[in-house]
Parts: sequence; structure tokens; C-alpha cells
Amino acid sequence: MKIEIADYCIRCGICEDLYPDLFQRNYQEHCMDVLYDKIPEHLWARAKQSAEDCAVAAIRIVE
Amino acid sequence: MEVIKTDVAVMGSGVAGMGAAYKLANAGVKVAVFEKYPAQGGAVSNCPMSFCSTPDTPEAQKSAYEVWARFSNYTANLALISKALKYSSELPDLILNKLKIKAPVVIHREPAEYGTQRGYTMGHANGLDVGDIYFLEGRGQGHAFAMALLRLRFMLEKQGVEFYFSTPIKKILREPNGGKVTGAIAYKKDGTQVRIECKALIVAAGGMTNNIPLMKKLGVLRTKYEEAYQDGGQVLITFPDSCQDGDGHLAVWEIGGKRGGIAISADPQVPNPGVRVGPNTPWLAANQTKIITEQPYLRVNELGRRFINEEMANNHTAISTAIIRNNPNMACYMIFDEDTAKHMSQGVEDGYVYFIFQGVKVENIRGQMDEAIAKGNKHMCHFDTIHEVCEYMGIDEAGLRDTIAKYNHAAEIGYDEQFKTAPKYIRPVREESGHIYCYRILAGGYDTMGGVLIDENANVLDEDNRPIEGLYAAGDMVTGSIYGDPPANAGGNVHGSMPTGLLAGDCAAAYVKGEI
Repeated sequence: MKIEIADYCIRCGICEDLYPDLFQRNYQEHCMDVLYDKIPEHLWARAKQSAEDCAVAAIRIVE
Repeated sequence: MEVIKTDVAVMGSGVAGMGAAYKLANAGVKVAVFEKYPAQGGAVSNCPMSFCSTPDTPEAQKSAYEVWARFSNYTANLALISKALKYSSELPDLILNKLKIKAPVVIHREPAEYGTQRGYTMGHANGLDVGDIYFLEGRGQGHAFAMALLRLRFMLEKQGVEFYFSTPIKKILREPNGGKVTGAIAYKKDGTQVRIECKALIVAAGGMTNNIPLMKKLGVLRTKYEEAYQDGGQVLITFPDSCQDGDGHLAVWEIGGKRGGIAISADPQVPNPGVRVGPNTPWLAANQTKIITEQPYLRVNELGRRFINEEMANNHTAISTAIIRNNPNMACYMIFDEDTAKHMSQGVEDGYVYFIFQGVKVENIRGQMDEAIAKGNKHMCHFDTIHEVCEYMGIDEAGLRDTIAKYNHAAEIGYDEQFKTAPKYIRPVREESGHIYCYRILAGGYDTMGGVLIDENANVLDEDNRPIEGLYAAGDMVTGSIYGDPPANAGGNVHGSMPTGLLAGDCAAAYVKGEI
């Protein structure tokens, strides 16, 4: 499983607050970074929930 | 140097900039939006879950105008107020119908009642309770305006509006000798310059909450608790790294725009850590600190003196303005004893509904505090004695003891001679209760407001109150012109930002078409 962030992400940071094990703000590039290239299995449920919680549906799960 | 030619350039893609682009696109003029941020900007993603709209009826418009003009103490541009209110009547159609954002709760207000409500009427002062309140349904854990603006962007792109992200405008080009504005200079991410040639420029660059040195220089921020205003401290609750650094103000002032007063659009906050779940989302609380600090109990400043009727605790404009303008270090302290802690465990005060649902009980304040303190929070404490609280928090003990003596006496006799606070809210503070609790509350907020002044056509004014031809402004940066200059420290500003954006768009379109 992978997480992709669409370019229309508004960088509000909800994902970082709720899922700091998956996302982190990148102050240099002014964007949100996904901490894993491939999401570990034990975080799959959280990854899917992060997509549900995104304010603008910018988080996409790629199976 | 790359040259971009357009009819109207818009600086900023927040609420106001997008409102302007919407009107410009509908008027059929060529529009280019320049945004410093790599994505849609503005403070909006962390703010509006509601907006206020004044219906377009003579009764509503007249009542709202009168309330708003009085609220500004007639220091606003009164003709602009009238137009902004008219534009606010367009918001429901745009947001609900065109952008398909749901409003599960709409509070219709009678015009005769305008200006009488406070609390969650957007956190504004009573003076901005001037219409129907629409509470919006966001997606996921976010607020609805994030999605509203994104949909508006997609809609505008289909209409041919060009968006240039990571391309900040840094300089406005104006003809010599007070001539008209002809363009601007922007910079791409790689540092290359872009020359924008346009017939009109709309500056909708928001505030400067991401530029603490500038806020300090301008006297907007004056506190020794500066670290709490940094990203993640969540006193300034625009999202971290918002890039709102006052570019718009500086560019306008550089070419002769009049400097207006600037305020923080304040919402009193106990800083992180341990108050909210993370650095980004002020509405996701880690505990009940916000609920507690909305309660109408004793508040003092660092001198130990009361400074406001505590019943105003949930009127963010009122209490924030009092904190910012009158208190040392832009801070106040909420102090209560164990008896009041027990009282809150039975249920919070009715009517104090900002982020509070009636019937909420505040459990285990001491435990909640200890958890935040363990995470490094230095803005709350609990001790057995007032002396220890004062020593820890830096409050003048003699002043506080004098205040508490008078406050407790007011509780005894059921009359608050100083502020006339309702007796039911005056809860004595007694060491004999077993424990004393204290929160340091700083005047935070969503953005800065004001700094640039406009006329009723959204034209930026020069020092002589004359419009600068071809230059328009909207949004948080022009609130002095619609709420009064300097603006009070009011809450979120969709009510002002979107209407002034719509106005700026219409007026700039008319200008480039030669209609005005």
C-alpha cells in the first residue's frame, strides 16, 4: 500500500496532527511528506482513515 | 524575464482573492491569480466552519448597516459597509448552491435582533451579529471552507482563470508621480523574476501571522511569550507555515498606500503543548482546556488586577481586545479554586457555548493539567497556595490578593461593584478550598487584520485618502475600512473577506472595461 498526496493538498496539517506516524510537515518544500514509501501493514487501517479525514480529499490510497 | 499579461492580477488565493477571481471570471475579463504558497493559500483551512449573510431586504440591510457602523464607531468607510453587506447576501448562493457545501444548521435572525448576540456568532463582537448564520459541513476532520475554495478554484480553472502557485508578488509597479498601477513583479520558486503586466491589481494577501519580526516591528505583537506565537504554539492558529508574511502590506505601502492600524483577530488561547492534539488543528482539542477557559470566572492580568467583566469570557472580540490593548504581555490569567473545579465537574455554565455543548462536565482538571505540563506546557499550574501560583506564573501577589479579597466580598454580598458581573458567576477563590488552579491565556487568533485601507470601490487609498488608480485590495488586510480603523480584535473574517473580494472583483472588472 502507498499513500499519494494530490497537488491540490492545502497543507492544513490535519494528517500530521492525527497521524504523525504517517505524515510530517516539510517546512523547506512547504508540503506534507509521507513518512513511508510503502506503508507497513500495521498502519494500513490508519492510512485509510487518514484519507477519510482529509479536509479536501487530497490523500489517496494506492493498493 | 518572463512576462505574464493579463487584465487583472490577483495577489493571494484565500477567501478574498478567490471571491475576486470569481467575479472577474464571470465578468469575462482575463484573470491570473498569484499565490506565494504551493497550494491554495489563506488562513481559511483552519477557520471558517460558518459564515454570516445579511439578507438582501431593506430591513435586514438597514439594521445591519446601523449595527456595523456603530460597531466601528464610524471610523469605517460607511459606504463600504453598505456595499459589503449587500455582497454578503450573495454568499449562500455561491457557497451552498454553486460550490455545493452543505449547511446543516442555519440560524435565521430577525433584523431587529441584529447586534444582540455573541458567542459563536463567528466569535465576532455583538456588532457583527448582522444576519443569518450558516454552519457548514466540512469533509473529514476539516472545516468546510477548505473544500469550498478548492471547488471554486476548479470551477474557475475551467473558466480560464490562471493560477500561479509558489509565485509571490513582491513589488507593485506604479507609474511615476502618483500614476496608475500597471503591473507587479513576482518571483518563481527558482528565484527567477516574472513581470506581470495588468490593467488592475487586486491585493488580497491576508495577514502577517507568519512574520513575527514584522508583527513586532509594527507593534502588533508585544509579549515576552513570543515562543507561543511560533508555528505549532497555536496561539496564532493560522496553520503553520502559512507563508502569510505581510508581503501585500509592504508592497502596497511601498507605492504610497495608506498605512492603517493592524490588530490580531484574536481568540484567547492557552498555548500548546498538550492543549490540542497537534500543531495544526486548533479545533481538535487534546483536553478540556478551551472549555474551562471559556467559563466566566475570575480573570486578572499580571498585575493581579481584573480587567473585564468575566461574563465576556466567551466574547472573543471583547476579551481579546481587552487583553491585547490593556494588559502587560498580551496575557491574562484565569484563577479558580477547588470548589469551582468541583462546580465545573457538575457541568459548565449555561449559555457559554463556544465549543461547548450544554451539559458538558469538566472532569479531573488536575489530571488534565498534569498531562499537559508533563508535555512541557508552562502556561498552566495548580498549587495549594496563591503564593505558589503567583510565583510560578509571574503574577503580582499583592495585587492578586487585593483583587481576590474584593472579588470574594462581591460573592458574599452578591454585587460586583467593579464590573457588575452577574452574581451567579462570581465564584470565590479560597485557599481553604484545598487547591488553586491557574491558566495563562494569551491573545491569539486567526490572522492579523487591517493595515491597508480602501474606499467603497475597494480601491486602495493613499495617504490623502485618494484612490490609487488600478489598485484594489480585499480581505483581512482591509478590515480597518469595514470594521473601523484600527480594527477591533475580532474573530474570523469570512463575513468581511468574501464580500470585499467580490466587490474588488466587480470594481476591477468595471475599471478594466472602462465602465467606471
